[in-house]
Order: sequence, then C-alpha cells, then structure tokens
Amino acid sequence: MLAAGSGERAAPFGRGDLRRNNPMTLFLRDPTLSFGNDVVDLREEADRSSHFLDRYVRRICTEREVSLVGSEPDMARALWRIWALKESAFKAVHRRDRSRAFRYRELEVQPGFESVVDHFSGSSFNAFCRASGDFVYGVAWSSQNADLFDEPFLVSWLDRVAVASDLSRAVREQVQRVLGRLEHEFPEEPIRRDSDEDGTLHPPVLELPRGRAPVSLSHHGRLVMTTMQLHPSAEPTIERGFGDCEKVISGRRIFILSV
Amino acid sequence: MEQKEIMDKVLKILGPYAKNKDALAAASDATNILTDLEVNSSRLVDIILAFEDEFDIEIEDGEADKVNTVGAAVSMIKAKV
Repeated sequence: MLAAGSGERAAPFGRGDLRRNNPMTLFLRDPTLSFGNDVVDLREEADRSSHFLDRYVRRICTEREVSLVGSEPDMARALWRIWALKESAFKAVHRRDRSRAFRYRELEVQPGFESVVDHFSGSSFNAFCRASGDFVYGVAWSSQNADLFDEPFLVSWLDRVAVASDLSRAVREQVQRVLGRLEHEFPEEPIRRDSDEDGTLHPPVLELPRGRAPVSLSHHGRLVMTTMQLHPSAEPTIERGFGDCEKVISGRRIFILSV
Repeated sequence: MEQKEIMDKVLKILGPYAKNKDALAAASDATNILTDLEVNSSRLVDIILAFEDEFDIEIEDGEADKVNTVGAAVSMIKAKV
C-alpha cells in the first residue's frame, strides 16, 4: 500500500511481526485514512421538551438537515443519526487537523445518511449509520488518496455495560478484550492519548509492541464502541474470535454487536 | 454581574450534566467541561442553550466552540452581560 506523497509502502504490522513464522498481519498504518465513530444511547437523550428539542435541532443542523429530520418518520432517531455522523466525521477531521473546532453546521449529513460534507474544507466523508433498538451508531471515514486505495476495512465493536459509572474504564476493557480475542499482544494500557502543552488531547491510538495504530472510541449511556482499521487478511481471525456475535456488515465495514 | 455570581450559575447549569461530581465540586477556571467533568459532547449544546436562557444572551457558533473550560464559559458570559 502506498503511503501518501512518499511513494513508500505503508507496512501492515501486528502479530505476524512478533512471530516470524507467522506472516499474518492485523493492523494497517494508512497515513491518509481518517476515521471516527460515535454511539448514542437514546435513553440518555429522551428528556428534552419538544420546544427545547426544536432549539437543539436548529442549533446543530443546517437547513437541509432540518428538512431531512422533518421528512423522516421517526424524527428523534433521524436527529441522533445526524448527530452520530457529525461526531464521527469530526473525529476523523480532528485526526488530521487538531486546530479545528467542532462547529456543528460545518459538517452536513447528506440524505441517505451515507456521506458527510465538510463545508469548511470542501471535502467529504463516507459514512454508515444504523439505528437499532435503543441506540444509534455510526462511522465516517475519508482517504486523501481515495483513488489509490481499496475501501478501508474498518471493524467496530459495540458493547453494553451493566453499570454506567466509569465508561472510560469500560472502553479500556473493551479494547483489551478485543485485542485479546484478536490474539494480539498488547501492553497493560494499550490506549494512548498524547496532549498539547495547553492540554488539548490528541486522538487516541493503540500503543502496540510494534507501533501505533489509530483507534476511535466512543461511549454514551451504557454503550461503548471501538473502531479500528484492520488488514483484510485479519478476517479469519475476526471470525474465530467473534464468530458467536451478531454482526452488521456494510461493504468492508463490520460491526460486531454484543448489545 | 459579578464573576462569582456568574461562576455559581455556570456550575449550577453544568451540575446535571457532569458525571464526575468530585470534579464539579472542585471545579476551577481550568476545569475542562468534557474531559474533567465528563459531560457528554451532545450535552454541550444543551449547556449553551441554558446559558442563553439563564443570562439572556445570544451565543454564536464561533463563540460556543471556545467554551471548553469553566473559565472560558464564565469569561464569555461576563463579556456579554
């Protein structure tokens, strides 16, 4: 795989690098790919009056998105699908440009919920969003060299936790569980978030024995979500580790649900 | 309006949304609303709307996205009331 602008190949890394007799790779380090995820626990968002919700919609939605919400049979779900994709797209934006602030109406979800236009940069993101039961989840992704790459293989895990008291810890435990089931070696605390001098947090990465891999993390209410970009050859490992879980598959995006 | 009065009202508004009650009790100007108080990002919009109602002000998008800390919220409101 070609690295952006360098002409070098971006090497996959993972378990195969640790065990020389096993060439299997797990993660891809694709410097041109940005992705983000988000999950919304709808029970956490059901307490607004209709008047306040109307103000809320007009605060975060463009005129086109207001029309989209109004055209959907379940307006609340449409709103939270829009929110989940805006948040996902912003995480992807922020991975490239940490100076960007989250201005809700700069990122516009398109009808069909399959893309998000970034009006600030003029770029767009591919997107997937699904409402299921009492929650909504989504991912957004973009590659600067879209013509050079296959569709990215993004795998997401959604879990419901019993107690919503420490969701940051629940996310860490989810990542550890995922890496364990992927048979990947990892340190005690695999999630790393660097920060600037002013305290601004960088997007999270997985600190693994052979390098760092981007990861997107989300939690809300009692739901936690992790998204990673994996090498397509990891698919049998995913099937081994998560064969008993419900899956939602959209192109080369796999969502593994334990909710 | 005095800075302390604004601060007290800001903390009262943040209260229901802050999951980290210890951080809320010890809040200072530097307290980050999202990461320290553990307010969900979707609730920042509610908080901005509540500031508008409580202080009878209008907050533009370009101002709202700078409200990262308790101190930033207080300063922004103080400049408007």
